[in-house]
Amino acid sequence: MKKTFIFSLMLFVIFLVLPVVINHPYYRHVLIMMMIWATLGVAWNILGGFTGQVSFGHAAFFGVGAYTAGLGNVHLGLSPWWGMLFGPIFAALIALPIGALTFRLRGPYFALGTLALGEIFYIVFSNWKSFTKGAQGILIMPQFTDKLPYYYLALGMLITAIVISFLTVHSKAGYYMVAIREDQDSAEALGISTARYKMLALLLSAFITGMAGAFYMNYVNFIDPAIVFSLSDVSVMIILVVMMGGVATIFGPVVGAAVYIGLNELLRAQLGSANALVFGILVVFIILFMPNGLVGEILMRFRKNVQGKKRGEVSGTFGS
Amino acid sequence: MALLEVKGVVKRFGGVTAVNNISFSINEGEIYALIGPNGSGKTTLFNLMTGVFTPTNGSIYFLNQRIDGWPTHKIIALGMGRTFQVVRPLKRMTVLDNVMVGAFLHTGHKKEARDLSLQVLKETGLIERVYDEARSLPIALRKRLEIARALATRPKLILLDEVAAGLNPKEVEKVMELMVEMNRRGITIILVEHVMKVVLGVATRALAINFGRPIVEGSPYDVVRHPEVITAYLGERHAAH
Repeated sequence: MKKTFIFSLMLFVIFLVLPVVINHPYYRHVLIMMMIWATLGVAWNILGGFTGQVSFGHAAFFGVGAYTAGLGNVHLGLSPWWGMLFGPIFAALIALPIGALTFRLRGPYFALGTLALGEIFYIVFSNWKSFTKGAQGILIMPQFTDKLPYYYLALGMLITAIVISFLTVHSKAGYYMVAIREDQDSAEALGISTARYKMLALLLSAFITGMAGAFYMNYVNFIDPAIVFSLSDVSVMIILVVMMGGVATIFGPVVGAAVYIGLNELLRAQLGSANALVFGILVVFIILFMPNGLVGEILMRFRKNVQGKKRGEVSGTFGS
Repeated sequence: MALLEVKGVVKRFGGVTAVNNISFSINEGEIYALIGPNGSGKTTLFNLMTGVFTPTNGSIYFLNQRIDGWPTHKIIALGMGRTFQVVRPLKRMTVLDNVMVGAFLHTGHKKEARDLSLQVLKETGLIERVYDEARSLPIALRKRLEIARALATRPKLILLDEVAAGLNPKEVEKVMELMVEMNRRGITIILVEHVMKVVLGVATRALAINFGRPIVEGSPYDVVRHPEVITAYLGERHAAH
């Protein structure tokens, strides 16, 4: 716990001064993208990692967050920054019926249910042209020309996500969520309202995902349904980021996002469209040889070493 | 006033009647044994009491409230604890965390939950293994963990589903001691058990069932020797003697 805190503080300071060292707009852009994906990974992890409800439909929350910011600007003339407030709220609101529908399903059926719902959002936003402008997309005026404000906003967003995730996971709710992941019937038999705690996990997850979506709209200034409601480029990518970094760990998604975005940029420059192939192979290797992800694997090693000396310190329930 | 009252409960699964008009009532402080051959409906009865299934007919009262049809977690929160026949530990959680999940039922504080859990783990003899992952425990300790977890929810009534099955004689003795100790502290116990040593050793009353129907209720000694119970367990030929 104490180590996690010191580690977090160190990371925070590094991220705080990083743009001073790195002042090329392209590298700043890469860092901002890393933070957006890290936020998404942290959000997904609350539901998929800790609570064990693997969602293939997180693009729905991302897209709704982004469109809230965009449409508020287009239809109501609101500053798209309002999206950072309303985006997460709308994402959480649509999570309520989504949860009510999909939480009747378990395991792979839940995953398929969320996948279908994510696609429904894509289809609706593509075709409801009078309201969403369909495939034409939404273009807004950039608020800042410099990358620096975006960098610090993204950092603030990521920290918010990590704090929400950390506080949740290390509370009673966190224990309940992990219990649900391990055995839903056992959890019920210990007096846990599994329906309520799964919904709580989903709402938090959708809230943070919606926030990232709204920030994306503000940062990129253009969205269309194919970008923000994409199954392969959003929903599945979030899962890959988390798997690469470490499922059910607090910092796994951050590491996963850094590696994923970093590699993606490197490979794209070198290999063009062959980058997807290399990336795919890499993912397969990670799943085969590092099933706990980068952070998960390090934690496992660390835990094995520690157990002989002072086993009291480490609990197997939560990664840090 | 009875702590738990089961009144004419029937449960049908399609054409199969798993539980057919069973009634009994349990007073505070009892250790009540449910016996019967495999498939006679004992576990189904447990599942009806804990809200896993809703009875097709009949009613169940616990602490003067009608609980049939309630969701499981609500019944547990009212003061019923249960273990599973096929143990279901929260595998990738430590022993301590498993029990803490139960302890969180009555507190939101981590420290309180931890203290209560350590207390329970001491009482159930698992204190040596608190930081081990639940999946690393051998079966006897997994069964203990089931009990410890249920105890951490501070139940008034605990349902033990074959907690002595598959244990060696020494381990069985230990479980019996644990039951007597729990009972002494004011927890009423219902147990489903095939190990007659346990039934005869700790139970204050017993009910034998077969094909979902009650055969006989009374002192464990009488129930175990009842001709119909012997027939149910061993078949006609043995019962003739």
